[in-house]
Amino acid sequence: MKKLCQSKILKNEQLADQYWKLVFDCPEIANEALPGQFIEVYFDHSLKIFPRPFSIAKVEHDALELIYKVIGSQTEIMASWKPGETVQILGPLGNFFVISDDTKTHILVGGGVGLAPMVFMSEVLKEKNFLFFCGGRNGREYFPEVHDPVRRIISTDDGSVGFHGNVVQCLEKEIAAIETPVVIYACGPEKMCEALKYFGEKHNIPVQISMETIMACGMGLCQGCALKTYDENGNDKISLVCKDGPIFKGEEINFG
Amino acid sequence: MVDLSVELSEKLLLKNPLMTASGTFGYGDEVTDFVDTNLYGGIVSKSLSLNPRVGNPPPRIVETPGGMINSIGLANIGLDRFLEEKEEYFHNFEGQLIVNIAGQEDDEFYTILKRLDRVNWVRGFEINVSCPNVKKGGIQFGTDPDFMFKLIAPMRDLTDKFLMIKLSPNVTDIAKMAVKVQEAKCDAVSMINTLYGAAIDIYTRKPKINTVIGGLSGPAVKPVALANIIKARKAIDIPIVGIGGITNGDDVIEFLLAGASAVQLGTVHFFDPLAVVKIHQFLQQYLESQNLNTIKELIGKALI
Repeated sequence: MKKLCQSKILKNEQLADQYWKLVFDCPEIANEALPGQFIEVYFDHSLKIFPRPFSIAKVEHDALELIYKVIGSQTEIMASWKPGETVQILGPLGNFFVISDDTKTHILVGGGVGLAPMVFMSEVLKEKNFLFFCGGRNGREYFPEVHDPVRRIISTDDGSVGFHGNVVQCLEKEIAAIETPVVIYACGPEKMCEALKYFGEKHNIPVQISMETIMACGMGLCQGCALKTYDENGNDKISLVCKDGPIFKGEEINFG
Repeated sequence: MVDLSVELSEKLLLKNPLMTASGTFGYGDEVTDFVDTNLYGGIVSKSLSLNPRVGNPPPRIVETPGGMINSIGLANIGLDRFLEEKEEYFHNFEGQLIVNIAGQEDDEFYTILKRLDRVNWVRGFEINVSCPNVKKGGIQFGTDPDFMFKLIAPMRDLTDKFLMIKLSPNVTDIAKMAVKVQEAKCDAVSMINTLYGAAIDIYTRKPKINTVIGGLSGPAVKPVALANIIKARKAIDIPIVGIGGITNGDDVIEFLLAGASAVQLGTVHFFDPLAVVKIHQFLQQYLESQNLNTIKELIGKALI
């Protein structure tokens, strides 16, 4: 059940170039959140009125963690928030990644700030066999720590760190050596998600993708966050990212 | 204890003047996790059509200064599913349920009206003659006074329940439209629906809304709503339900002073889901501070 909370900021610190980590004291949401779910962060509304959705990057006891990238006016405001301040947040919202016991290797793919929900996944899958493919444009991006460094495979577009190329090319190189059955969980730029959908089809691997759209209310009131999808018979459909997602199966998504 | 109740007609008494605007509150059952929806005097449902509508393709919304543009296209679950799935919730709802009806042609409106007239948990209707985002029906009914009159006049014979027409601001003279609503013996008008709005991405050069032009709402439109209410108030005697950019308690008082008998909260639901709680508290405090016993005393009392 979603909760609307006035939550105190415990930490707000820069991780890398534009990447920040924000931690709330919020037992109401932290104790219920599952990987893949998101929250809405509210601002003092003036010229910009919408709250902003963020995937949950981690929960630890009562603490709820976000990883955000400063790319616009609202994330600039977020970067100015200090510990002790209170912010209104709503969550947990949306569906979550489905983890099956039959899966031998869990492949997490995060591109750019899309790695946030994958950090949560890597925590939940700590005792299981997973590989975390992190993609970025260059070495100045944020690549999260994982408890076992060999499980983290970095790729950068300019080759400054890790594999030289995009995260899907990197996965293509590694896939033959990975123990099956495999499931891919992904979040990142649309082009990456689209490529992973077709990668999954080619290799017969189920793919669960966290999708992003412009979003207003976050809970199905406005019906604004529409996504073109297919139903089980392959017919065109419209889904709402906030309620029907944000996680969709690769075959459900119509990248157009 | 102050009295917040208002009367929209002999048929519809609201325990307070706060209603939800159609399409901004789902069917009322989405926010019950954290808001007591009984704080609303009335809920206006999402627009209902005879058959389900999937609505428009993305992108459907864009944030604009002090507001947003939407083009949802009346996505809804259709009459049958509405009756099946929402009965239990509305049986327990302590306010009044007004169903917003959006048909594509005259007969669709009338069919829905006839069927819902028999449903006891539906207390009234708001007729959407002013949606800017559908190709057929929608705003074409709401921009030509005679065309609209032809559509709404037969409705009075189909139901004795509360009947309200939602007007578009995208007309030359909203007062003329309001007069037609009164002539058709409807109980009230609600205004305003969204204003035409557009936004273009300067890098892709594409419109930010799938239908190019959508409906502008939010705090930015509040002065337009007030101006239209003032114009209509002079032209008609039936009650006006004010809609347009209401964000807080001050706004509600302003709408009542301008001549609205009740108001609808809309876009504020997307950025301040607890607005109704805060407004409720404000109204009580305001009346006490002004030494007023009842909120009705404020209606139309602006010094204009």
